[in-house]
Amino acid sequence: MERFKRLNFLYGSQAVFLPFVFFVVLVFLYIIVFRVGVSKVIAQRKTLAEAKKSENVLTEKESILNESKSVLASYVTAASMAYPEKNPSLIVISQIKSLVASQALALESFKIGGMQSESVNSALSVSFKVSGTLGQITSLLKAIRNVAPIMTLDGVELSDSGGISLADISIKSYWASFPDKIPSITQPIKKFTKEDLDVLLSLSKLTSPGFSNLSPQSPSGRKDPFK
Amino acid sequence: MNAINLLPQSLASNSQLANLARGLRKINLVATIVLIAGLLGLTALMGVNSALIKASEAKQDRLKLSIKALQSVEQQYTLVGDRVSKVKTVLAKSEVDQKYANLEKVIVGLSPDAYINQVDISTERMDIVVSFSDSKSITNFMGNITGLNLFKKVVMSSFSFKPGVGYLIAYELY
Repeated sequence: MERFKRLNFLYGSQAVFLPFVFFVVLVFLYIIVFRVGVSKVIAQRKTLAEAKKSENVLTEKESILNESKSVLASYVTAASMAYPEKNPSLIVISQIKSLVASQALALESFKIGGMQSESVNSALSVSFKVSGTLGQITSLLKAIRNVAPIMTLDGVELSDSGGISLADISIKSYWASFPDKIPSITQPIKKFTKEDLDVLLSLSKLTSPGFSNLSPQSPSGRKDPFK
Repeated sequence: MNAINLLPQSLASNSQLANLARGLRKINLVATIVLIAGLLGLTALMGVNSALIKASEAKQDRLKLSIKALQSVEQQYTLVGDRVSKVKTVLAKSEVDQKYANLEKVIVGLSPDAYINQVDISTERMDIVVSFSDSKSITNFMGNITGLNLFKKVVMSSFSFKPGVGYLIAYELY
């Protein structure tokens, strides 16, 4: 009888044992699936978000470049004239002399000097004295703002006696080397703001110096003087 | 007719264990279905994500090629952007230009008998000497300066009067 009871208990235990083992296996499978599967999906979502971000950056960059392609050439000329790559002292002299002449002023003295070289930007100081009427001098000071390269007033001293004014004007003109590399292809490009476009518009209206750039020509054969 | 169980009660199977086994089997069944469904869902999600990533990468490659073809435009764009930012910095720093622009506004409001004799513009302040033929012009000039609201401080540094010439007043405009 006792033997029967023991066998009966063992039989009952066996009936629980297999589902229990299966249950434990299922628990382990859940843990593995959640740890591996979910983390993989999360990683994929992160990669996808980054890919979408890069895609948006590239799409925006391409559209900005395509949009501005047609107008950039004129902006490049205007911007590089207004803020040249090299010391613009000769251009500044030429511009001031032509401005002084156009306002029918007398140039009393002219001095160039005091070049400030900063890490990126460099400035050239120019001072000159002119004599004429107050109206002519104010016109000159206005006109200085309308020529390339850009010049800013550093100081103005004006004295008037008997209708003839004498002005001692100090200006600064600037230059800086051109950027030598373009940003990496995946780096976003900053769209020109309205303020930037206004600046560009004003730069394109500046009067350029009367110099002309000669384009290099291929050497031509010398003519035979005996023919 | 009632069923007859000939086995003694003591040999009847353990009903608690049987219930536990039945419960476990049910739980296992449901958990297996959920696990399979979850696995299928995760696999589908991974497949969709993978396809989306591949599509995005393909689009990026296409865009990169297109941008590379526009490299000269990008060079020009970078140059123009660099120049514009430099011009903006220089113009924002130029205090004398701003002071001169203010002086122009003052000159516009001058009465016909007032005359500017001397101007000295520096980064700190603007000194002007103005001659007036009568005191009414002085009042007009001061009214104009205060009305323009361009200066933080206006100092009358000297005041002189010459009969036949008029008033000669020096101002420091900050």
